[in-house]
Amino acid sequence: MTATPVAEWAAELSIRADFAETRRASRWLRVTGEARGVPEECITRLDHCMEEALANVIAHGGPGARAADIAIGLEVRCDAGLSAAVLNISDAGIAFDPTRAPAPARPGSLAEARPGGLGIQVMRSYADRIGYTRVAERNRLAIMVTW
Amino acid sequence: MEFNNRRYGEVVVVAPAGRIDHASAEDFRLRLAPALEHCSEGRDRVVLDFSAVEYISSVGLRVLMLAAKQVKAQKGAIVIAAMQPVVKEIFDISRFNYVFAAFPGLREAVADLSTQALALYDAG
Repeated sequence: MTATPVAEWAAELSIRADFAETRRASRWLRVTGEARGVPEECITRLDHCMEEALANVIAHGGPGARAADIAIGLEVRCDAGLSAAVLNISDAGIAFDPTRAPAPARPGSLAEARPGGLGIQVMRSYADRIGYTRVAERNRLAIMVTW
Repeated sequence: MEFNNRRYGEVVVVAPAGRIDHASAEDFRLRLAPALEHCSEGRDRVVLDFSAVEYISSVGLRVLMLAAKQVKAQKGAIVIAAMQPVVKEIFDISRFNYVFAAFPGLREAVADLSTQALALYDAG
């Protein structure tokens, strides 16, 4: 089972690239995940990843990201006894592949702690797999959790 | 976001409630700022009571990191208490347990900062 973004997936929610919209996305994810049988703990992990992914788009995606909606979809797969939920996010921002971003230094003390890079670390910690492609001038991110 | 702050002697308990995410982080920072301003050697000490915080994202951790650095520069003391499991998990993932002194309960946090404040806390 891979988290490679598939060529076609159904956008089920569109939000503006605005921090005020991220909570609407979070509520949608919870309701939709529950309705599709995704365990609570997996929804929470996806919620962490989505919050950080959307924040990256809104804060760093540039004017292109802010000019177009962000599309989101949730797909649930079952294969050979393994279940997975894949959260798909598509945005029109600057090309950014979080799977290739350098791992941030992990602080061992307050003096070593640096702001920045925490979001990528959170996504990598909570997702089982992350896939990325750039298609038609849009970033496509697929975040998978399994149970 | 909702706050339920109170004081026990020189210990100020700052108690936010709800989600600390990208939608609320700036409000959290602004509401925390007055307590940080008075948190220095010989003045107030701060406990962040996180018992009602149900979620924190990286931007919230960033606010906490900068708060800890500010307080350290002022030679003050700030600790965190009563994190819910989902918040403690992200703390551990981000290794913020090395950045912030954390206590399982509010009483332990108050006790760590001041015996006088603990007496006031216990007196209710």
